[in-house]
Amino acid sequence: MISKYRGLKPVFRYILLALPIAFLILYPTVLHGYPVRLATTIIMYVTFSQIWNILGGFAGYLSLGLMGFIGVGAYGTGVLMNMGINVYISMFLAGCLAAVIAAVIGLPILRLKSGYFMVATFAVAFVLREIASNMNTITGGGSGLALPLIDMPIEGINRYIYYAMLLMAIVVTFICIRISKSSLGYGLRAIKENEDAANVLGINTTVYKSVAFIISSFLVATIAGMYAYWLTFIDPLSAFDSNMSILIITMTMVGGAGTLIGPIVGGILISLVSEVIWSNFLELHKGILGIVLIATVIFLPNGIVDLFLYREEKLTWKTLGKVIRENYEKYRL
Amino acid sequence: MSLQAVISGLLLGGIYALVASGFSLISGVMKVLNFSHGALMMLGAYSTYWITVTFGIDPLLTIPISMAILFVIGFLLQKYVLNLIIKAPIYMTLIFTYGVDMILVNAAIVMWTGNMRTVPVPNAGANILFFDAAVPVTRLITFGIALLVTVFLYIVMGRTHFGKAITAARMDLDAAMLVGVNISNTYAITFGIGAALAGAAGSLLSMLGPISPNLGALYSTRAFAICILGGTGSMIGVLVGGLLMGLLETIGASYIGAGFKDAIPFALLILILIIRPRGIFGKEFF
Repeated sequence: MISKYRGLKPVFRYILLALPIAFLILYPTVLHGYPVRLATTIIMYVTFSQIWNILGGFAGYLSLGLMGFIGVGAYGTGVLMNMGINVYISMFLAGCLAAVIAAVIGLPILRLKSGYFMVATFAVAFVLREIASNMNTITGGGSGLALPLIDMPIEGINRYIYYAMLLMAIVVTFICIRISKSSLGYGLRAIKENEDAANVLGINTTVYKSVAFIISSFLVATIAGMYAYWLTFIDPLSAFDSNMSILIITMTMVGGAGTLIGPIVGGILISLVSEVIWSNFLELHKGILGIVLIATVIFLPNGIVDLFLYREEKLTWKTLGKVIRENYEKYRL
Repeated sequence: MSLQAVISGLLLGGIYALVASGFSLISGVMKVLNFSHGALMMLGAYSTYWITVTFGIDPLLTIPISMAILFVIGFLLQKYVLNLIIKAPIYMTLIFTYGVDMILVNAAIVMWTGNMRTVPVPNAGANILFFDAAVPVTRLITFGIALLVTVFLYIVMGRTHFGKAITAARMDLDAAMLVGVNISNTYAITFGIGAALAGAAGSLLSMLGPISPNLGALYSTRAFAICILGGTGSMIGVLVGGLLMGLLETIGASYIGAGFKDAIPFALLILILIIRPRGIFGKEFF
């Protein structure tokens, strides 16, 4: 599949990369208020999807426990900031805490095959939430935790958070590109194809999976720290939000798990769709997301970018129909 | 260890075993981790609620009806929806059933609102005194029914022609097809039975406390934890795992703190995965 990838010429590739970055940097200088906040949310979700993709997309180990590490990052940052520590150091330390938790938990649960791993990560996230909501003296328990306010005018806050998220998104994307091209990335893909075979070929699958799990947990928690700083108030249900996990998984699956561009496409698309649904049919939000999810698994299990990136023939309505039919027949009884 | 906590735990564990037996059946035969199991339970609970409220009959008598309704829902779900992706990798099917769960829960919220509802149970407060522990009669009855249904499932699977067809499909799909087993229908009926068990569990749960569309939220994971705890693919393991889970929850709640009640089974799951991944009665690791 990967061999079919038609690479672009380097020059075009840099232009393709520079254009959106320039656009994103200039964006808040033109627009203010809601559009900037919406863009910040989208960037955050794209980044989360990108991180989730490391283990979920490359290795086929779909973690339902992202919310656990988002919570750890948010609470870690909040607690440390309330002790008077600088926000960046707090975020970093919260990330380290998440990495340690991932290292301790990852070793046993990464021995499980992917489906069982998913449910185990769900359990881990849930236990973390219960711990956060029961450590009343440190986290404030169920009544939540207030973070120090950002000392800026409102438009300044919007811009500050926007650029912080954007910077982290760019860093994360470059980390993902590096991972994708490193032996870690190839090892993870080998695990997805056939874990036993990868093991026989000399890939220490447990180490590879653990490293990916630790890296992604660290990154998720760090970004969640900034998210908490933005929210200024967190409680166990909002910091450990299972809807967020599912939203991120949906984004990556719809865009295309296991590709670099997939989480970006899916993240932007689903964020916008989600925003429209939120504002128009609030009650149906979860159901519509569920329909998108199951339609994706039936018709486009490899995501939207699969239609464009890995195909020899040009995409027309006819080939689109063919692809969808193929996917539909693929997993049927 | 107080006798009261042990008794409450065992009585709760009976229902857990019932939930997990349906989950175990589905995951064993179709290799699908059914994350919508909790939502099916919720539908069972609502069936009991509506039948009881509309016709004013005893909630215990609604159990067969709720099982029948859930059987039909499960049958159709597998036949026309899940069969579309049955050959996908297990993580895909799990994501898929998660999507189904989201749709069912959302539909329930839209139809019946998110309000808490209570099924009117006759003699709800009655107790039997067992040494110095109070045994609520309703819980005792639900426990008995849960065990009965679980054992009934065991007999159906082992003794009937249909049970053998399911076992055949579980062991070797292609060979089962060759000897004339209709896989599509077998799968659909298996899922129907699993859903009916979930429905029965939901009906029983609805008699013990208030119900809402989010009733089943943690039960899919809990059922999975029980399957791991008892050992995958072992009926007796599911039964023991369920009882153990109930026990640990109530005992943990009374010793560690009620706030951790829901976290204990999951902490236990993680622990089991570290110490004995194949579960108590499991023979081989998946």
